Amino acid sequence: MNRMKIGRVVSVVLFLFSVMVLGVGCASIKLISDYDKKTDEAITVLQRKFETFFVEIEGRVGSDEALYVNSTEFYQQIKIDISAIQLRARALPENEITEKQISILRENVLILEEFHKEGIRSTEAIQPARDDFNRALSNILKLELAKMRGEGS
Amino acid sequence: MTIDVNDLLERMVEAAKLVFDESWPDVKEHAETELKGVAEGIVLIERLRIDGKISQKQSRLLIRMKENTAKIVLLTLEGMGIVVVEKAINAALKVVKDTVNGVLDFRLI
Repeated sequence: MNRMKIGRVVSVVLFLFSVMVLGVGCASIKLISDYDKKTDEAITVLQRKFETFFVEIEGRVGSDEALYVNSTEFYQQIKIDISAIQLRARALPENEITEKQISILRENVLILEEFHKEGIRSTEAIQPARDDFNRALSNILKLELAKMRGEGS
Repeated sequence: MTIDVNDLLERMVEAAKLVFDESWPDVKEHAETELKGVAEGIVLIERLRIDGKISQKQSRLLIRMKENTAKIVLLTLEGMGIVVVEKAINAALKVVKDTVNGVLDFRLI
């Protein structure tokens, strides 16, 4: 009986030890994707394109140049850029959060388009959208940089 | 009736605090700054609508955009929280690894 008890204790200890060795043997775990330099660069380029667009529109308010029809090329190009970032984000493992963010960003471009179609009556009217794109892009970038986990950040 | 930015911000921060629970101190600073920007943006949209600088439809569109931006901010906070948890787990694993290797006098793990 005693021998059985000792045997069971030894088995439990061995089991726990092997779990510990196997678990720790992995050295570290990863819950979120690694920092991606290409995403970082693409988001930075996107931010510049949006800012250029808003500065241009601001200078055109009150003229026909500010009309939506004169910005269709910008919207087309920006959608292509975002699709490319989204595709890359989707391909990286454990990167669902960034992928979701890019998808929401894309939705905001469609909303901006609808807003623009209605006409822009004053320079102030652009400010909320301008702030939103700056905030959204800086937050996507902030998360990307946090993924560096102190390595080189 | 106008929107009170401080009241709106307070309620947004309280809601976020409940979700982030223990990791709140790690994301607090960024959360408060970003959510303040979102709250101020909502107040600006309301003012532009009242002043006739944007239409009713445009104000609805901008509010939708603002909601989406808040989602992006919250996702960043979620991601930053995950990075913090990951760092904590890996630090604990390293302690176990160093302890086991130290006790055994040879590199087991």
